[in-house]
Amino acid sequence: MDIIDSDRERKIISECKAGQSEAFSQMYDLYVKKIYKFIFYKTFHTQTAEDLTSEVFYKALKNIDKFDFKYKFSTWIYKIAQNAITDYFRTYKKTINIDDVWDLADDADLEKQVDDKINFNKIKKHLNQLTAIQRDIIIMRLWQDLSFDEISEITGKSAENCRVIFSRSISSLRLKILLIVLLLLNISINI
Amino acid sequence: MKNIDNILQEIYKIDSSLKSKEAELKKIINFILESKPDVEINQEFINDLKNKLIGQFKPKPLGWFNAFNYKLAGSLIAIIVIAAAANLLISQFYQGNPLPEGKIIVKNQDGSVIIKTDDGGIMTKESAGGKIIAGFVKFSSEAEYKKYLENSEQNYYYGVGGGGEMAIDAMDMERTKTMALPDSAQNIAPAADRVSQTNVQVQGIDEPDILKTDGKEIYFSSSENRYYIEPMPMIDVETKSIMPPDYNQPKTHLIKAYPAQDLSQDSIIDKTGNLLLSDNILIVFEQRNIYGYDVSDPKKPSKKWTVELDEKNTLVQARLYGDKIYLITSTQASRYNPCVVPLFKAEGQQIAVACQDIYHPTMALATNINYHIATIDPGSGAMKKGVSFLGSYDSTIYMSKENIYVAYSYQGDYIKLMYELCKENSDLIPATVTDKIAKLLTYDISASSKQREYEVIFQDYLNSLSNDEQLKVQNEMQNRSADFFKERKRDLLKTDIVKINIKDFVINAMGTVPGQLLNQFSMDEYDGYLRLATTVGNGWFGFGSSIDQENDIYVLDKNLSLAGSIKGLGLDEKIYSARFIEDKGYLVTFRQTDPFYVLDLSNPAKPQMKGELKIPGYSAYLHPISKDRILGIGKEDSKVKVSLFDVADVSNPKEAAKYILDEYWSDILNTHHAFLLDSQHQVFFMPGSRGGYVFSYQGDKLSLKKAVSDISAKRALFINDYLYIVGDDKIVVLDENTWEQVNKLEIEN
Repeated sequence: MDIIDSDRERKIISECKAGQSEAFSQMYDLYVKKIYKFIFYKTFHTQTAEDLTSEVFYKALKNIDKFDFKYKFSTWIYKIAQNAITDYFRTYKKTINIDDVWDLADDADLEKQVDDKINFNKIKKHLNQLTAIQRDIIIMRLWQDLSFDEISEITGKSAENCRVIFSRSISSLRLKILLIVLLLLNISINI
Repeated sequence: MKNIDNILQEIYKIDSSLKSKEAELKKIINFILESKPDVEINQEFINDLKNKLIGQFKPKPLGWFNAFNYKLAGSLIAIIVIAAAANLLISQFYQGNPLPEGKIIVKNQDGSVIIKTDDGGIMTKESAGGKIIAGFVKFSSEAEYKKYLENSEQNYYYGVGGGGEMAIDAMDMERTKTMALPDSAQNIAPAADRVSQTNVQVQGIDEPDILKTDGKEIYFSSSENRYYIEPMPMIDVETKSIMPPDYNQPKTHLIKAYPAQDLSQDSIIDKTGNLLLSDNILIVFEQRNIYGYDVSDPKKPSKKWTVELDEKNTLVQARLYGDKIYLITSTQASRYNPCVVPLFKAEGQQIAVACQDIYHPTMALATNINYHIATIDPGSGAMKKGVSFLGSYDSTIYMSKENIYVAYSYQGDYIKLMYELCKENSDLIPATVTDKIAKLLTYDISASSKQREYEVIFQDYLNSLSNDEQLKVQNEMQNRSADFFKERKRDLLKTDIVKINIKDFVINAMGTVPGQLLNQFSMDEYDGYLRLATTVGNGWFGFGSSIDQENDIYVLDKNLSLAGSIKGLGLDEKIYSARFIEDKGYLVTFRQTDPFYVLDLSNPAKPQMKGELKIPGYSAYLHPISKDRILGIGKEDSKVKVSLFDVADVSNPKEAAKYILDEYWSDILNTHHAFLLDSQHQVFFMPGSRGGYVFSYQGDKLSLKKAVSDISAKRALFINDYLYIVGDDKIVVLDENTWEQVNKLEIEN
């Protein structure tokens, strides 16, 4: 994993603030794919993921001199990404607050627009039942293969808290998608 | 797998009691891991963006460049020809008990019985009087509607959907007719002989898109500029909120287009969205509103009518055919909603449908969406009668000149499957248990109650066994169920198709096929038959054991009963595009290579797969350019690819030509509307992220005739021999005889 220690991060960001493009491109290299995936998993749409990724880094670039060192850079940039996603979906449906594509998983119209429809359809009804933060943590842990320390930075929650949320989400999925097959093959399931 | 073990350990640290559920947890985690989408990050995009960002730092990014290596997929080309035998299995696709003549008895929740037959659809025994008539069941009361949905919510994971027919008299709404406006002086422009239309699936049925033309005027809805150059929004680090950026407000532009030298903006409408054009009326589909503008004077468009969708009503699709706009909308069905479902507001008048007027499926179900079909008269905005019925999500809409087909998928009947699994394994599961499940199937209770009953039956049985026996049953059943579900992959996920006649809005048939559709091109009506291409093997049961996907072709007759099928195309692959043209079908499935299948559908009872071609990459859109040539547009090695398929010899399709464009995206991969064919000049247009491209396919060769850079190209159209490339920022006009640029217009937002 490309984690850099906070001292080095501080140094690089200081250089960014000082207008050194090389420093910014280091941060870019470090985060662009993570941010892209983060967005893709919340939009399931290649073009949107590219558009929003561009948006996030333009915003980050323009606001880097306002970056406050009391935050982690990752927390900051993921927050920008989440805001961009929320804004994006706001143009889609004005009435409700939408955190990601899973909130819209039942929207027949949106459904047409997703890429990798098969996987989307396979998983949506499960993810759709979780809260946004539960989904975020499950996706970051299982799809992005991030550690809880990294997830903690991104979500701004403690690593312990993330672990608890993850564990409970998996456990609640277990109950919700309680398979007849599983019941057959296995054992008692106490609802 | 080590990774899973780590994750399990993390979970146990939080809740050690979950250790006893390890097998289930593993399955869930595996399932989520397996559902991880294939994210193909385009390296060129990453590099381009980096360049652009660095460019923001300094005026010229000197010496900074990343060489980009394209990974070449090593795939082989193989040509296989097989002829698949036809399968005639009608009754198994329908729920209920098949009768000898192919009739199916379906029991309603209220105990009444309806009969589905192959010559007239569905009738109720009581009302039919010996005659077969079409129709589903209406709710008798608000309470019944709510009760029904309550069951349906619990049945989230299984059950069948269905449809019904109704005429919403309440939706009849004739508005005061506005007088036709006199032709303005603007319209005396010379008329064009050749004018392109939006690329649609069915000739003559228009589909909403961002660009329309009548040969004189271009109507174009630009999209908002998402890129921030100057000024950038501010971020408040304290609240971590970003102030909204100053977006370029998207608008609809009315542009005088012909003659080409007169290219100029006539006016702007401050609404944006997909457009339809019906005579002098421009229809704009905004998020929640549909507007009709009189554009007979393009310098002064005037709003004639507004149809407002209720906040809970979502536009699924729209079509323009003849003098009517057909709207397919959906509302979430919920027992908590008021029992009058508001649909539209038009000039202050509320249009709603009472839940007693919504038709519901006659069986246990997973219905959760009300579909509504209505029409608008483009001239007056008057709404006409429609039809409402309950269905499920994942809808695909296809409209022919006679019918609208609403298709939606849902999970199969699991209890029934489990019954069959137990029955097949009588050496492990005693008849007493199987009989109990068989009896359970006949109970007139909700599917969720059935599930609970089923669990009790099985638990009792397992508890009666010794530990050793339990272990044996579990292991054996695990193995056998994997095979069982592989065989039954066509029962796991199904698609219902509801056929609505557009003349009288009567649902005249409903049918079911295994699997799931990709898009509107997965359906096609020809000579009274509906042809469908589905992918099977994905769905809930993919959970435990992995089931390879495969793809089927189904031909249904006018009553949507099965006429013939081809099964099992492209094992472990899924459909990327389909196109049915008269008595032929073309199908692209993809996993690593792109098998291109040619289907002979001339005998509906015996469709055949005639030819197959395996090439690298895939095609996401297929377009017939002549009788024997099909164009495929897709991707190979993350670049946009165009293939020209020679299908003259159906048993031996060939890739006559191929062109790899140095682009990673074309909007055609997203919508067929972005494609334009001009057969007179033997060219077609493709938008890319770096410009617009005109290809020639003359003489079976694909060559890039013209590339227009520096335009955020979206669409193109032609008027006589002028090709207009339309982008968010400008319009460029090319003379199709010389490919010289003859005019251009910056679009001001």
